[in-house]
Amino acid sequence: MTPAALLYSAGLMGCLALAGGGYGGLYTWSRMRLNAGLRYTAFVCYGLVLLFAVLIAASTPLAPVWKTLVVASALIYALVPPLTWRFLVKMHEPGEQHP
Amino acid sequence: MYRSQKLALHYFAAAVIFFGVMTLFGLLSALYYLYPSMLFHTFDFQMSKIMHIDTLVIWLLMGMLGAVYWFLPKELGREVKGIWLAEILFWVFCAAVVVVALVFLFVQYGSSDQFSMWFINQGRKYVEAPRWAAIGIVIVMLVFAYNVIGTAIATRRMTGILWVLCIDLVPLCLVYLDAFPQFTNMSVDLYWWWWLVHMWVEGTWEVLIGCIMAWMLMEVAGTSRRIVETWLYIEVMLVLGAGILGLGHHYFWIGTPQYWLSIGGFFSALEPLPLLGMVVHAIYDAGTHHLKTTNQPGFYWITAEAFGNFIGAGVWGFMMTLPQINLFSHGTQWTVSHGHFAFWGAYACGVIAVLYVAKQKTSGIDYLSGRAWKWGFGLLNFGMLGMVMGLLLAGMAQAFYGRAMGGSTLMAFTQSSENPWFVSGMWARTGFGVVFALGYIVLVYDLVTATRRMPKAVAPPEPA
Repeated sequence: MTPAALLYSAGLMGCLALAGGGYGGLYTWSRMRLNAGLRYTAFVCYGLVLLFAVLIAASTPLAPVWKTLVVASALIYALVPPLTWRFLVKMHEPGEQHP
Repeated sequence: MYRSQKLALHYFAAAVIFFGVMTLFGLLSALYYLYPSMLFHTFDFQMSKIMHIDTLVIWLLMGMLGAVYWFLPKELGREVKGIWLAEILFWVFCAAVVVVALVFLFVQYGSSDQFSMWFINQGRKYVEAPRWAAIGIVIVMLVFAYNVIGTAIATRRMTGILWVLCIDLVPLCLVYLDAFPQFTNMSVDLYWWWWLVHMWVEGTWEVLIGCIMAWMLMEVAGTSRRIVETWLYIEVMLVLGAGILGLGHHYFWIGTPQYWLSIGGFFSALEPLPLLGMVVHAIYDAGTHHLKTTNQPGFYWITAEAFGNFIGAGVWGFMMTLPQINLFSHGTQWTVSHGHFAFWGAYACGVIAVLYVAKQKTSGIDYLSGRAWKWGFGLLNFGMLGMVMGLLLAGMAQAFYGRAMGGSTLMAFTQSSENPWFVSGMWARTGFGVVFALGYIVLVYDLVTATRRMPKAVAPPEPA
């Protein structure tokens, strides 16, 4: 790995996780506020997650197994906020409360 | 107030003091990078670093022990079993820490013999305290375990949180013991040493702070027991699932078999996903309560923990966890940046939140807020963010110039340490360290005076 490729690869990895966090945060906030604008922004963030995953797969010298893992994890990012949201809502349903 | 809660207040006070000592030696350690010959042969860098890291471990441990002593009697509705023993050991613990600190300050190190190991410095990174003090920590943990389990048995009552805590106490006491054997093979030694660092600090502590946060969420946000316990079980499952084998990322370059590269890389890369779930949960809770609570600082510090944990452990960790990248980044200031951010997010924010809850309860104030805590919150978080960015810059310069270009030679290390990018990063770290220290001063000021400044009759905002 060249010095430039090192920083490039690591930077993309960090950006991917950060964009994933942005997607999760904005998705949840948009559902709380019922705000379509926030929701679109959340999906833009997820688009960035996919973009970074594609860039990692296509332009970094990482081994194929790590590229596959990164792409797979980028796909799983899509599911985490909606599934967590549904789980939270279900847990907080009034009929389910047993404080 | 229970005697256990009074003991908790002692632990909190000690934790805050050691937090200050840690900050002071962190600043001093930062200066060595800018003035490498500073205090040469009087008080060298490694002693300052030891003081910085060991007091980090001690203040967080004391904060978490205090938090359990605070919440436990409330959870079970009775005084903690054997509290007198815990009270005695608290003072023994504090005295031992002070003695060890004085030895580190004035004796520093001895010759390579048994005497040094037992009475001066054990010589193991992050657990340098001499052997007698290490045994003392084990005794403190055993009494702590006796207090928790004994109280649960005495009341013949168990909650989900207590089950998790009691099970966690087993590795909390046992895993620390692997700091003791003396291996002559460095790979074997490091193999078990990482159990101490990763399994004890990053594993059992993670579960311990999870239990504390479960109590905190019930206290501050009014979340139901069923919900917090469900999340706690999920967290334990994730810690066991991804965290234990995530240990592999420490095994990359210490002489262990090559399969650790795959195991460590795979499980470490999965670690941001549960942290993302935590971010979703934190925003959900904040939104549900419309950021209104009877303890604003406590609530904001809990929320900061979720974000800090995701960014510090998740983003910073993901950036450098794959073996191909870690080959260049490990052991540089890049790792230091990750360590600072992750510890801050995972533990420190949570412990500070508990301090505010205890403060409110002991002073009988219905609604805790004000301006000073916001300054403390802002300065501490801004200072930490600035420090980790400075360290990241310096670490990337080391990885780029010293490792990838220079080939990891001693000369390359020296040259990269003089590189303008590295030096700029370390200046930024020092500057933001001062900001962080100011935040600490404001935090202490607020913790001491907040309740005096808050009128007792202030009505809390409307509940969500």
